[in-house]
Amino acid sequence: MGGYTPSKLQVLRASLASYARDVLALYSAWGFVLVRLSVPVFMVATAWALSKIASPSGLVASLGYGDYVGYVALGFAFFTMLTTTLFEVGERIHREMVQGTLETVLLTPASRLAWLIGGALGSLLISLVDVALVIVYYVALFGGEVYLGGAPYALAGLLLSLAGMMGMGIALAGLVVNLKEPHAFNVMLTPFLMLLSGMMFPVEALPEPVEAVSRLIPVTHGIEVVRSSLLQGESASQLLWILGLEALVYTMVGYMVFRLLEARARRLGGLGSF
Amino acid sequence: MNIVYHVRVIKAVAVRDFKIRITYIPWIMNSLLQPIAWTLILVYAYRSIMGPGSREILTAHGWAGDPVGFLVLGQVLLSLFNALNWRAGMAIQRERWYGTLELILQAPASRIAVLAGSSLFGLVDAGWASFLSALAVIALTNATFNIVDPLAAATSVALAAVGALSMGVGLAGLYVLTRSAGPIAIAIQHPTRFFTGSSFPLAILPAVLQYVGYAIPLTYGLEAVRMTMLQGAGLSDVEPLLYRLLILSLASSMLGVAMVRWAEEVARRNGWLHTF
Repeated sequence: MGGYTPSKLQVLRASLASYARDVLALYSAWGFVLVRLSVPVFMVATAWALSKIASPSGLVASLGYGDYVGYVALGFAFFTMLTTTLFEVGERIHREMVQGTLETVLLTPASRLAWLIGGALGSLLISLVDVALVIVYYVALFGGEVYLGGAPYALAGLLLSLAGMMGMGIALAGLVVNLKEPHAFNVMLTPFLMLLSGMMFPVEALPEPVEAVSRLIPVTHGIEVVRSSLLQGESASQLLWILGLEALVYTMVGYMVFRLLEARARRLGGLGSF
Repeated sequence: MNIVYHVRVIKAVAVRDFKIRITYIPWIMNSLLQPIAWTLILVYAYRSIMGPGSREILTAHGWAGDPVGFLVLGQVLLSLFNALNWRAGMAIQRERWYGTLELILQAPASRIAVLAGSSLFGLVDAGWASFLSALAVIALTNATFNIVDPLAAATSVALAAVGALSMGVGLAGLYVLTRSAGPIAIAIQHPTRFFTGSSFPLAILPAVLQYVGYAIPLTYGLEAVRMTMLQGAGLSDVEPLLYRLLILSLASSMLGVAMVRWAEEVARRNGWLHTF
Protein backbone atom coordinates (compact mmCIF):
# COMPACT_ATOMS: atom_id res chain seq x y z
CA MET A 1 0.00 0.00 0.00
CA GLY A 2 3.05 2.29 0.18
CA GLY A 3 2.63 5.03 2.78
CA TYR A 4 -1.02 5.67 2.03
CA THR A 5 -3.76 4.36 4.33
CA PRO A 6 -7.32 4.75 3.06
CA SER A 7 -9.98 5.97 5.46
CA LYS A 8 -12.88 3.73 6.51
CA LEU A 9 -15.19 5.78 4.34
CA GLN A 10 -12.95 5.23 1.32
CA VAL A 11 -12.87 1.49 1.99
CA LEU A 12 -16.66 1.48 2.25
CA ARG A 13 -16.98 3.40 -1.02
CA ALA A 14 -14.63 0.94 -2.74
CA SER A 15 -16.81 -1.94 -1.53
CA LEU A 16 -20.01 -0.21 -2.64
CA ALA A 17 -18.62 0.58 -6.09
CA SER A 18 -17.54 -3.03 -6.55
CA TYR A 19 -20.97 -4.20 -5.42
CA ALA A 20 -23.02 -1.85 -7.62
CA ARG A 21 -21.08 -2.79 -10.74
CA ASP A 22 -21.76 -6.50 -10.27
CA VAL A 23 -25.48 -6.11 -9.55
CA LEU A 24 -25.97 -3.97 -12.65
CA ALA A 25 -24.03 -6.42 -14.83
CA LEU A 26 -26.11 -9.39 -13.64
CA TYR A 27 -29.57 -7.86 -13.96
CA SER A 28 -28.90 -6.62 -17.49
CA ALA A 29 -29.24 -10.24 -18.73
CA TRP A 30 -32.80 -11.59 -18.96
CA GLY A 31 -31.51 -15.16 -18.97
CA PHE A 32 -30.10 -14.55 -15.51
CA VAL A 33 -33.54 -13.44 -14.30
CA LEU A 34 -35.11 -16.54 -15.88
CA VAL A 35 -32.70 -18.84 -14.04
CA ARG A 36 -33.29 -16.99 -10.81
CA LEU A 37 -37.06 -17.38 -11.12
CA SER A 38 -37.35 -20.92 -12.48
CA VAL A 39 -34.65 -22.97 -10.75
CA PRO A 40 -36.10 -22.55 -7.21
CA VAL A 41 -39.59 -23.52 -8.45
CA PHE A 42 -38.38 -26.84 -9.83
CA MET A 43 -36.14 -27.52 -6.86
CA VAL A 44 -39.05 -27.09 -4.45
CA ALA A 45 -41.36 -28.97 -6.84
CA THR A 46 -38.95 -31.92 -6.85
CA ALA A 47 -39.06 -31.93 -3.04
CA TRP A 48 -42.86 -31.82 -3.24
CA ALA A 49 -42.85 -34.86 -5.55
CA LEU A 50 -40.44 -36.72 -3.25
CA SER A 51 -42.61 -35.84 -0.25
CA LYS A 52 -45.35 -37.97 -1.82
CA ILE A 53 -43.21 -41.05 -1.23
CA ALA A 54 -42.05 -40.02 2.24
CA SER A 55 -42.62 -42.42 5.11
CA PRO A 56 -43.17 -41.61 8.82
CA SER A 57 -40.36 -44.08 9.56
CA GLY A 58 -37.87 -42.02 7.55
CA LEU A 59 -35.06 -40.10 9.23
CA VAL A 60 -36.44 -36.71 8.20
CA ALA A 61 -39.78 -37.39 9.89
CA SER A 62 -38.14 -38.93 12.95
CA LEU A 63 -36.13 -35.70 13.46
CA GLY A 64 -39.43 -33.84 13.72
CA TYR A 65 -39.62 -32.46 10.20
CA GLY A 66 -43.05 -33.51 9.06
CA ASP A 67 -42.94 -31.37 5.93
CA TYR A 68 -40.18 -32.44 3.53
CA VAL A 69 -41.01 -29.61 1.11
CA GLY A 70 -40.20 -27.03 3.77
CA TYR A 71 -37.13 -29.02 4.75
CA VAL A 72 -35.71 -28.81 1.22
CA ALA A 73 -37.03 -25.32 0.44
CA LEU A 74 -35.19 -23.76 3.38
CA GLY A 75 -32.17 -25.99 2.83
CA PHE A 76 -31.96 -25.01 -0.82
CA ALA A 77 -32.55 -21.30 -0.23
CA PHE A 78 -29.86 -20.93 2.39
CA PHE A 79 -27.46 -23.36 0.75
CA THR A 80 -27.64 -21.25 -2.43
CA MET A 81 -27.06 -18.08 -0.50
CA LEU A 82 -24.10 -19.38 1.46
CA THR A 83 -22.37 -21.10 -1.44
CA THR A 84 -22.93 -18.09 -3.70
CA THR A 85 -21.02 -16.06 -1.15
CA LEU A 86 -18.28 -18.68 -1.08
CA PHE A 87 -17.88 -18.79 -4.85
CA GLU A 88 -18.31 -15.08 -5.40
CA VAL A 89 -15.34 -14.36 -3.20
CA GLY A 90 -13.42 -17.24 -4.78
CA GLU A 91 -14.05 -16.26 -8.38
CA ARG A 92 -13.54 -12.54 -7.95
CA ILE A 93 -9.85 -12.54 -8.79
CA HIS A 94 -10.36 -14.62 -11.89
CA ARG A 95 -13.15 -12.37 -13.13
CA GLU A 96 -10.94 -9.32 -12.79
CA MET A 97 -8.24 -11.18 -14.72
CA VAL A 98 -10.67 -12.03 -17.54
CA GLN A 99 -11.92 -8.45 -17.65
CA GLY A 100 -8.34 -7.20 -17.74
CA THR A 101 -8.86 -5.09 -14.61
CA LEU A 102 -6.85 -7.10 -12.09
CA GLU A 103 -3.72 -4.95 -12.34
CA THR A 104 -5.83 -1.81 -11.94
CA VAL A 105 -7.47 -3.25 -8.84
CA LEU A 106 -4.11 -4.23 -7.38
CA LEU A 107 -2.67 -0.79 -8.04
CA THR A 108 -5.51 1.14 -6.39
CA PRO A 109 -4.96 2.10 -2.76
CA ALA A 110 -8.19 0.33 -1.73
CA SER A 111 -7.92 -2.71 0.52
CA ARG A 112 -8.17 -6.04 -1.31
CA LEU A 113 -10.14 -7.41 1.60
CA ALA A 114 -12.71 -4.63 1.13
CA TRP A 115 -12.76 -5.38 -2.58
CA LEU A 116 -13.47 -9.07 -1.95
CA ILE A 117 -16.12 -8.29 0.66
CA GLY A 118 -17.72 -5.74 -1.67
CA GLY A 119 -18.13 -8.42 -4.32
CA ALA A 120 -19.56 -10.85 -1.78
CA LEU A 121 -22.09 -8.26 -0.62
CA GLY A 122 -23.16 -7.75 -4.22
CA SER A 123 -24.04 -11.40 -4.64
CA LEU A 124 -25.52 -11.45 -1.15
CA LEU A 125 -28.27 -9.01 -2.06
CA ILE A 126 -29.16 -11.10 -5.10
CA SER A 127 -29.12 -14.23 -2.94
CA LEU A 128 -31.44 -12.56 -0.43
CA VAL A 129 -33.94 -12.01 -3.25
CA ASP A 130 -33.57 -15.71 -4.11
CA VAL A 131 -34.18 -16.75 -0.50
CA ALA A 132 -37.31 -14.59 -0.33
CA LEU A 133 -38.49 -16.08 -3.62
CA VAL A 134 -38.09 -19.67 -2.41
CA ILE A 135 -39.98 -18.90 0.80
CA VAL A 136 -42.75 -17.21 -1.20
CA TYR A 137 -42.97 -20.24 -3.50
CA TYR A 138 -43.03 -22.57 -0.51
CA VAL A 139 -45.80 -20.68 1.25
CA ALA A 140 -47.89 -19.61 -1.76
CA LEU A 141 -47.60 -22.65 -4.06
CA PHE A 142 -47.07 -25.48 -1.59
CA GLY A 143 -49.04 -24.21 1.44
CA GLY A 144 -46.01 -24.22 3.73
CA GLU A 145 -45.68 -22.51 7.09
CA VAL A 146 -42.69 -20.89 8.75
CA TYR A 147 -42.32 -19.81 12.41
CA LEU A 148 -41.54 -16.13 12.12
CA GLY A 149 -40.75 -16.11 15.83
CA GLY A 150 -37.65 -18.13 15.00
CA ALA A 151 -36.43 -15.50 12.53
CA PRO A 152 -33.90 -13.82 14.92
CA TYR A 153 -32.15 -17.17 15.52
CA ALA A 154 -32.24 -17.95 11.83
CA LEU A 155 -30.74 -14.54 11.09
CA ALA A 156 -28.00 -15.06 13.68
CA GLY A 157 -27.22 -18.49 12.20
CA LEU A 158 -27.18 -17.05 8.73
CA LEU A 159 -24.83 -14.19 9.61
CA LEU A 160 -22.40 -16.50 11.37
CA SER A 161 -22.51 -18.97 8.46
CA LEU A 162 -21.90 -16.13 6.04
CA ALA A 163 -18.84 -15.06 7.98
CA GLY A 164 -17.55 -18.65 7.91
CA MET A 165 -18.27 -19.07 4.21
CA MET A 166 -16.56 -15.77 3.45
CA GLY A 167 -13.49 -17.06 5.24
CA MET A 168 -13.61 -20.23 3.17
CA GLY A 169 -14.18 -18.11 0.06
CA ILE A 170 -11.13 -16.00 0.76
CA ALA A 171 -9.04 -19.16 1.11
CA LEU A 172 -10.54 -20.30 -2.19
CA ALA A 173 -9.64 -16.96 -3.77
CA GLY A 174 -6.06 -17.55 -2.73
CA LEU A 175 -6.16 -20.98 -4.32
CA VAL A 176 -7.64 -19.58 -7.51
CA VAL A 177 -4.70 -17.21 -7.92
CA ASN A 178 -2.67 -20.31 -8.67
CA LEU A 179 -5.25 -22.65 -10.22
CA LYS A 180 -6.72 -20.28 -12.84
CA GLU A 181 -9.83 -22.45 -13.34
CA PRO A 182 -12.19 -21.28 -10.63
CA HIS A 183 -15.50 -21.80 -12.38
CA ALA A 184 -14.89 -25.45 -13.25
CA PHE A 185 -13.66 -25.99 -9.71
CA ASN A 186 -16.76 -24.34 -8.23
CA VAL A 187 -19.19 -26.17 -10.50
CA MET A 188 -17.53 -29.42 -9.45
CA LEU A 189 -17.60 -28.47 -5.78
CA THR A 190 -21.29 -27.46 -5.69
CA PRO A 191 -22.95 -30.91 -5.70
CA PHE A 192 -20.39 -32.20 -3.18
CA LEU A 193 -21.23 -29.29 -0.90
CA MET A 194 -24.91 -30.14 -1.45
CA LEU A 195 -24.15 -33.70 -0.43
CA LEU A 196 -22.21 -32.69 2.67
CA SER A 197 -24.41 -29.79 3.77
CA GLY A 198 -27.57 -31.85 4.21
CA MET A 199 -29.48 -29.60 1.86
CA MET A 200 -31.83 -32.45 0.89
CA PHE A 201 -31.41 -34.85 3.80
CA PRO A 202 -30.10 -34.86 7.39
CA VAL A 203 -26.33 -35.33 7.53
CA GLU A 204 -26.95 -38.08 10.11
CA ALA A 205 -27.81 -40.27 7.10
CA LEU A 206 -24.22 -40.08 5.84
CA PRO A 207 -21.57 -42.60 6.89
CA GLU A 208 -19.93 -41.45 10.15
CA PRO A 209 -16.57 -40.22 8.76
CA VAL A 210 -18.35 -38.30 6.02
CA GLU A 211 -20.77 -36.83 8.54
CA ALA A 212 -17.81 -35.64 10.60
CA VAL A 213 -16.39 -33.85 7.55
CA SER A 214 -19.79 -32.33 6.78
CA ARG A 215 -19.91 -30.79 10.23
CA LEU A 216 -16.71 -28.85 9.52
CA ILE A 217 -18.49 -26.83 6.83
CA PRO A 218 -20.31 -23.74 8.15
CA VAL A 219 -23.17 -24.20 5.70
CA THR A 220 -24.16 -27.50 7.39
CA HIS A 221 -24.71 -25.96 10.82
CA GLY A 222 -26.13 -22.81 9.24
CA ILE A 223 -28.86 -24.76 7.46
CA GLU A 224 -29.58 -26.74 10.64
CA VAL A 225 -30.06 -23.53 12.63
CA VAL A 226 -32.29 -21.99 9.97
CA ARG A 227 -34.43 -25.12 9.71
CA SER A 228 -34.86 -25.68 13.41
CA SER A 229 -35.68 -21.99 13.94
CA LEU A 230 -38.08 -21.47 11.05
CA LEU A 231 -39.69 -24.93 10.83
CA GLN A 232 -39.66 -26.03 14.49
CA GLY A 233 -39.45 -22.71 16.35
CA GLU A 234 -36.34 -23.78 18.30
CA SER A 235 -33.45 -21.56 19.36
CA ALA A 236 -30.55 -23.92 18.47
CA SER A 237 -28.24 -21.90 20.72
CA GLN A 238 -25.59 -24.62 20.94
CA LEU A 239 -25.27 -24.71 17.17
CA LEU A 240 -24.91 -20.93 17.13
CA TRP A 241 -21.85 -21.19 19.38
CA ILE A 242 -20.31 -23.78 17.07
CA LEU A 243 -21.06 -21.60 14.08
CA GLY A 244 -19.46 -18.61 15.76
CA LEU A 245 -16.29 -20.60 16.40
CA GLU A 246 -16.23 -21.89 12.83
CA ALA A 247 -16.72 -18.36 11.49
CA LEU A 248 -13.77 -17.10 13.51
CA VAL A 249 -11.46 -19.95 12.51
CA TYR A 250 -12.36 -19.84 8.81
CA THR A 251 -12.00 -16.08 8.60
CA MET A 252 -8.55 -16.21 10.16
CA VAL A 253 -7.41 -19.16 8.09
CA GLY A 254 -8.88 -17.70 4.91
CA TYR A 255 -7.14 -14.39 5.40
CA MET A 256 -3.78 -16.01 6.13
CA VAL A 257 -4.03 -18.39 3.17
CA PHE A 258 -4.97 -15.56 0.85
CA ARG A 259 -2.03 -13.41 1.90
CA LEU A 260 0.38 -16.32 1.60
CA LEU A 261 -0.83 -17.37 -1.84
CA GLU A 262 -1.08 -13.84 -3.11
CA ALA A 263 2.52 -13.23 -2.05
CA ARG A 264 3.57 -16.44 -3.78
CA ALA A 265 1.75 -15.55 -6.98
CA ARG A 266 3.30 -12.07 -7.00
CA ARG A 267 6.76 -13.55 -6.41
CA LEU A 268 6.34 -16.03 -9.27
CA GLY A 269 4.71 -13.43 -11.53
CA GLY A 270 1.50 -15.41 -11.97
CA LEU A 271 -1.15 -12.89 -11.03
CA GLY A 272 -1.83 -11.16 -14.31
CA SER A 273 -1.53 -14.12 -16.66
CA PHE A 274 -3.89 -16.93 -17.61
CA MET B 1 -21.56 -31.89 -52.37
CA ASN B 2 -21.34 -35.60 -51.80
CA ILE B 3 -21.73 -37.47 -48.56
CA VAL B 4 -17.96 -37.93 -48.13
CA TYR B 5 -17.55 -34.17 -47.96
CA HIS B 6 -20.14 -33.90 -45.19
CA VAL B 7 -18.52 -36.78 -43.31
CA ARG B 8 -15.18 -34.92 -43.46
CA VAL B 9 -16.81 -31.81 -41.99
CA ILE B 10 -18.45 -33.86 -39.23
CA LYS B 11 -15.11 -35.51 -38.43
CA ALA B 12 -13.22 -32.20 -38.47
CA VAL B 13 -15.66 -30.58 -36.04
CA ALA B 14 -15.67 -33.63 -33.77
CA VAL B 15 -11.84 -33.73 -33.70
CA ARG B 16 -11.65 -30.00 -33.04
CA ASP B 17 -14.14 -30.32 -30.16
CA PHE B 18 -12.10 -33.21 -28.77
CA LYS B 19 -8.92 -31.12 -28.83
CA ILE B 20 -10.65 -28.24 -27.09
CA ARG B 21 -12.14 -30.63 -24.55
CA ILE B 22 -8.85 -32.18 -23.48
CA THR B 23 -7.39 -28.71 -22.96
CA TYR B 24 -9.66 -28.17 -19.97
CA ILE B 25 -8.97 -31.05 -17.58
CA PRO B 26 -11.07 -29.63 -14.69
CA TRP B 27 -14.16 -29.81 -16.90
CA ILE B 28 -13.46 -33.47 -17.71
CA MET B 29 -13.19 -34.21 -13.99
CA ASN B 30 -16.39 -32.28 -13.56
CA SER B 31 -18.24 -34.48 -16.08
CA LEU B 32 -17.18 -37.55 -14.12
CA LEU B 33 -17.76 -36.31 -10.60
CA GLN B 34 -21.00 -34.34 -10.93
CA PRO B 35 -23.25 -37.33 -11.73
CA ILE B 36 -21.69 -39.28 -8.85
CA ALA B 37 -22.44 -36.50 -6.37
CA TRP B 38 -25.98 -35.96 -7.66
CA THR B 39 -26.82 -39.65 -7.49
CA LEU B 40 -25.47 -39.92 -3.95
CA ILE B 41 -27.55 -36.90 -2.93
CA LEU B 42 -30.67 -38.62 -4.24
CA VAL B 43 -29.76 -41.98 -2.70
CA TYR B 44 -29.34 -40.43 0.76
CA ALA B 45 -32.47 -38.32 0.30
CA TYR B 46 -34.45 -41.47 -0.54
CA ARG B 47 -33.07 -43.32 2.45
CA SER B 48 -33.86 -40.37 4.72
CA ILE B 49 -37.42 -39.81 3.62
CA MET B 50 -38.51 -43.40 3.01
CA GLY B 51 -36.68 -45.28 5.73
CA PRO B 52 -36.12 -49.02 5.42
CA GLY B 53 -39.22 -49.63 3.29
CA SER B 54 -38.10 -47.74 0.21
CA ARG B 55 -38.35 -50.76 -2.11
CA GLU B 56 -41.98 -51.39 -1.12
CA ILE B 57 -42.89 -47.72 -1.47
CA LEU B 58 -41.40 -47.59 -4.96
CA THR B 59 -43.15 -50.82 -5.91
CA ALA B 60 -46.46 -49.29 -4.81
CA HIS B 61 -45.83 -46.54 -7.36
CA GLY B 62 -45.25 -48.98 -10.19
CA TRP B 63 -41.49 -49.50 -9.99
CA ALA B 64 -40.62 -52.90 -8.59
CA GLY B 65 -36.85 -53.00 -8.31
CA ASP B 66 -33.89 -51.59 -6.44
CA PRO B 67 -34.52 -47.89 -5.60
CA VAL B 68 -30.79 -47.16 -5.89
CA GLY B 69 -30.71 -48.70 -9.37
CA PHE B 70 -33.78 -46.59 -10.20
CA LEU B 71 -31.92 -43.43 -9.19
CA VAL B 72 -28.62 -44.40 -10.82
CA LEU B 73 -30.29 -44.95 -14.20
CA GLY B 74 -32.32 -41.75 -13.89
CA GLN B 75 -29.28 -39.66 -13.03
CA VAL B 76 -27.03 -41.21 -15.67
CA LEU B 77 -29.49 -40.48 -18.47
CA LEU B 78 -30.20 -37.02 -17.12
CA SER B 79 -26.46 -36.32 -17.00
CA LEU B 80 -26.20 -37.52 -20.57
CA PHE B 81 -28.91 -35.05 -21.58
CA ASN B 82 -27.27 -32.24 -19.59
CA ALA B 83 -23.97 -32.88 -21.32
CA LEU B 84 -25.61 -32.97 -24.75
CA ASN B 85 -27.58 -29.86 -23.89
CA TRP B 86 -24.24 -28.08 -23.56
CA ARG B 87 -22.59 -29.88 -26.45
CA ALA B 88 -25.18 -30.29 -29.26
CA GLY B 89 -27.43 -27.51 -28.01
CA MET B 90 -24.55 -25.05 -27.87
CA ALA B 91 -22.88 -26.20 -31.12
CA ILE B 92 -23.64 -22.99 -33.01
CA GLN B 93 -23.76 -20.70 -30.00
CA ARG B 94 -20.26 -21.86 -28.99
CA GLU B 95 -18.87 -20.62 -32.29
CA ARG B 96 -20.19 -17.20 -31.34
CA TRP B 97 -18.45 -17.44 -27.96
CA TYR B 98 -15.19 -18.52 -29.61
CA GLY B 99 -15.49 -15.71 -32.17
CA THR B 100 -15.48 -18.21 -35.05
CA LEU B 101 -19.12 -17.95 -36.09
CA GLU B 102 -18.45 -15.78 -39.14
CA LEU B 103 -15.81 -18.27 -40.34
CA ILE B 104 -18.26 -21.13 -40.01
CA LEU B 105 -20.98 -19.23 -41.85
CA GLN B 106 -18.66 -18.25 -44.68
CA ALA B 107 -17.22 -21.73 -45.08
CA PRO B 108 -18.81 -23.88 -47.79
CA ALA B 109 -19.53 -26.55 -45.14
CA SER B 110 -23.10 -27.38 -44.18
CA ARG B 111 -24.14 -25.90 -40.87
CA ILE B 112 -26.05 -29.08 -40.18
CA ALA B 113 -22.84 -31.09 -40.65
CA VAL B 114 -21.16 -28.79 -38.13
CA LEU B 115 -24.03 -29.42 -35.73
CA ALA B 116 -23.82 -33.15 -36.39
CA GLY B 117 -20.07 -33.20 -35.74
CA SER B 118 -20.43 -31.38 -32.46
CA SER B 119 -23.35 -33.61 -31.45
CA LEU B 120 -21.47 -36.77 -32.35
CA PHE B 121 -18.50 -35.76 -30.26
CA GLY B 122 -20.89 -34.75 -27.47
CA LEU B 123 -22.48 -38.18 -27.51
CA VAL B 124 -19.14 -39.98 -27.28
CA ASP B 125 -17.80 -37.57 -24.68
CA ALA B 126 -20.92 -37.56 -22.50
CA GLY B 127 -21.38 -41.29 -23.02
CA TRP B 128 -18.10 -42.46 -21.54
CA ALA B 129 -18.31 -39.94 -18.67
CA SER B 130 -21.86 -41.07 -17.81
CA PHE B 131 -20.86 -44.73 -18.07
CA LEU B 132 -17.85 -44.37 -15.77
CA SER B 133 -19.87 -42.30 -13.29
CA ALA B 134 -22.56 -44.97 -13.25
CA LEU B 135 -19.96 -47.67 -12.56
CA ALA B 136 -18.54 -45.63 -9.68
CA VAL B 137 -21.96 -45.05 -8.12
CA ILE B 138 -22.94 -48.71 -8.53
CA ALA B 139 -19.71 -49.71 -6.78
CA LEU B 140 -20.33 -47.20 -3.98
CA THR B 141 -23.97 -48.04 -3.37
CA ASN B 142 -24.25 -51.73 -4.28
CA ALA B 143 -27.11 -50.99 -6.66
CA THR B 144 -28.68 -54.11 -8.12
CA PHE B 145 -30.18 -54.67 -11.56
CA ASN B 146 -32.35 -57.34 -13.10
CA ILE B 147 -31.52 -57.69 -16.79
CA VAL B 148 -33.23 -60.61 -18.49
CA ASP B 149 -32.92 -59.45 -22.10
CA PRO B 150 -29.52 -57.76 -22.65
CA LEU B 151 -30.44 -56.83 -26.23
CA ALA B 152 -33.56 -55.01 -25.01
CA ALA B 153 -31.49 -53.21 -22.37
CA ALA B 154 -28.79 -52.22 -24.87
CA THR B 155 -31.38 -51.05 -27.40
CA SER B 156 -33.19 -49.02 -24.77
CA VAL B 157 -29.95 -47.35 -23.61
CA ALA B 158 -28.92 -46.59 -27.20
CA LEU B 159 -32.30 -45.12 -28.08
CA ALA B 160 -32.48 -43.16 -24.83
CA ALA B 161 -29.13 -41.62 -25.81
CA VAL B 162 -30.58 -40.80 -29.24
CA GLY B 163 -33.51 -39.15 -27.45
CA ALA B 164 -31.16 -37.05 -25.32
CA LEU B 165 -29.16 -36.13 -28.41
CA SER B 166 -32.29 -35.11 -30.32
CA MET B 167 -33.27 -32.81 -27.47
CA GLY B 168 -29.85 -31.16 -27.63
CA VAL B 169 -30.18 -30.68 -31.39
CA GLY B 170 -33.71 -29.38 -30.88
CA LEU B 171 -32.39 -26.66 -28.56
CA ALA B 172 -29.51 -25.56 -30.83
CA GLY B 173 -31.61 -23.12 -32.88
CA LEU B 174 -33.30 -21.70 -29.81
CA TYR B 175 -29.99 -20.98 -28.14
CA VAL B 176 -28.41 -19.24 -31.07
CA LEU B 177 -31.34 -16.84 -31.37
CA THR B 178 -31.16 -15.71 -27.76
CA ARG B 179 -28.64 -13.47 -26.09
CA SER B 180 -28.79 -15.61 -22.97
CA ALA B 181 -27.93 -19.10 -24.18
CA GLY B 182 -25.89 -20.01 -21.11
CA PRO B 183 -28.53 -19.18 -18.49
CA ILE B 184 -31.28 -20.79 -20.58
CA ALA B 185 -29.22 -23.96 -20.89
CA ILE B 186 -28.90 -23.98 -17.09
CA ALA B 187 -32.59 -23.21 -16.60
CA ILE B 188 -33.72 -26.02 -18.90
CA GLN B 189 -31.95 -28.71 -16.87
CA HIS B 190 -34.24 -28.34 -13.87
CA PRO B 191 -37.63 -28.80 -15.56
CA THR B 192 -36.10 -31.71 -17.47
CA ARG B 193 -35.10 -33.34 -14.17
CA PHE B 194 -38.61 -32.78 -12.83
CA PHE B 195 -40.80 -33.71 -15.79
CA THR B 196 -38.89 -36.75 -17.02
CA GLY B 197 -39.18 -38.46 -13.63
CA SER B 198 -35.44 -38.99 -13.38
CA SER B 199 -35.56 -38.64 -9.58
CA PHE B 200 -38.98 -40.13 -8.76
CA PRO B 201 -41.70 -42.23 -10.40
CA LEU B 202 -43.61 -40.02 -12.81
CA ALA B 203 -46.87 -41.58 -11.61
CA ILE B 204 -46.55 -39.48 -8.45
CA LEU B 205 -47.32 -36.31 -10.39
CA PRO B 206 -50.84 -35.12 -11.23
CA ALA B 207 -52.00 -36.18 -14.70
CA VAL B 208 -51.58 -32.74 -16.23
CA LEU B 209 -47.90 -32.66 -15.27
CA GLN B 210 -47.41 -36.22 -16.52
CA TYR B 211 -48.61 -35.08 -19.96
CA VAL B 212 -45.78 -32.56 -20.02
CA GLY B 213 -43.35 -35.33 -19.11
CA TYR B 214 -44.58 -37.58 -21.88
CA ALA B 215 -43.96 -34.86 -24.47
CA ILE B 216 -40.23 -35.18 -23.75
CA PRO B 217 -38.31 -37.93 -25.60
CA LEU B 218 -36.05 -38.65 -22.63
CA THR B 219 -39.02 -39.69 -20.48
CA TYR B 220 -39.69 -42.68 -22.75
CA GLY B 221 -35.99 -43.54 -22.85
CA LEU B 222 -35.82 -43.49 -19.06
CA GLU B 223 -38.85 -45.73 -18.69
CA ALA B 224 -37.59 -48.22 -21.27
CA VAL B 225 -34.13 -48.38 -19.68
CA ARG B 226 -35.56 -48.81 -16.18
CA MET B 227 -37.99 -51.50 -17.30
CA THR B 228 -35.31 -53.52 -19.09
CA MET B 229 -32.60 -53.07 -16.47
CA LEU B 230 -34.59 -53.16 -13.23
CA GLN B 231 -37.67 -55.22 -13.96
CA GLY B 232 -36.32 -57.72 -16.48
CA ALA B 233 -38.58 -56.50 -19.30
CA GLY B 234 -38.00 -57.73 -22.85
CA LEU B 235 -37.99 -55.92 -26.16
CA SER B 236 -41.69 -56.57 -26.76
CA ASP B 237 -42.53 -54.95 -23.40
CA VAL B 238 -40.75 -51.72 -24.21
CA GLU B 239 -41.47 -51.64 -27.94
CA PRO B 240 -44.33 -49.09 -27.69
CA LEU B 241 -42.14 -46.83 -25.56
CA LEU B 242 -39.27 -47.06 -28.04
CA TYR B 243 -41.51 -46.22 -31.00
CA ARG B 244 -42.79 -43.10 -29.24
CA LEU B 245 -39.24 -42.22 -28.30
CA LEU B 246 -38.11 -42.50 -31.91
CA ILE B 247 -41.01 -40.41 -33.24
CA LEU B 248 -40.43 -37.64 -30.68
CA SER B 249 -36.66 -37.77 -31.26
CA LEU B 250 -37.16 -37.38 -35.00
CA ALA B 251 -39.56 -34.48 -34.45
CA SER B 252 -37.15 -32.80 -32.03
CA SER B 253 -34.18 -33.19 -34.40
CA MET B 254 -36.14 -31.86 -37.36
CA LEU B 255 -37.31 -28.91 -35.31
CA GLY B 256 -33.72 -28.21 -34.26
CA VAL B 257 -32.39 -28.34 -37.82
CA ALA B 258 -35.23 -26.11 -39.05
CA MET B 259 -34.58 -23.64 -36.23
CA VAL B 260 -30.85 -23.49 -36.93
CA ARG B 261 -31.60 -22.70 -40.57
CA TRP B 262 -34.19 -20.15 -39.59
CA ALA B 263 -31.88 -18.60 -37.01
CA GLU B 264 -29.16 -18.29 -39.62
CA GLU B 265 -31.51 -16.69 -42.11
CA VAL B 266 -32.94 -14.22 -39.57
CA ALA B 267 -29.52 -13.43 -38.21
CA ARG B 268 -28.05 -12.81 -41.67
CA ARG B 269 -31.00 -10.61 -42.62
CA ASN B 270 -30.82 -8.53 -39.46
CA GLY B 271 -27.07 -8.69 -38.89
CA TRP B 272 -27.50 -10.20 -35.43
CA LEU B 273 -25.25 -13.20 -35.26
CA HIS B 274 -21.97 -11.70 -34.26
CA THR B 275 -23.42 -9.31 -31.69
CA PHE B 276 -24.03 -10.26 -28.08
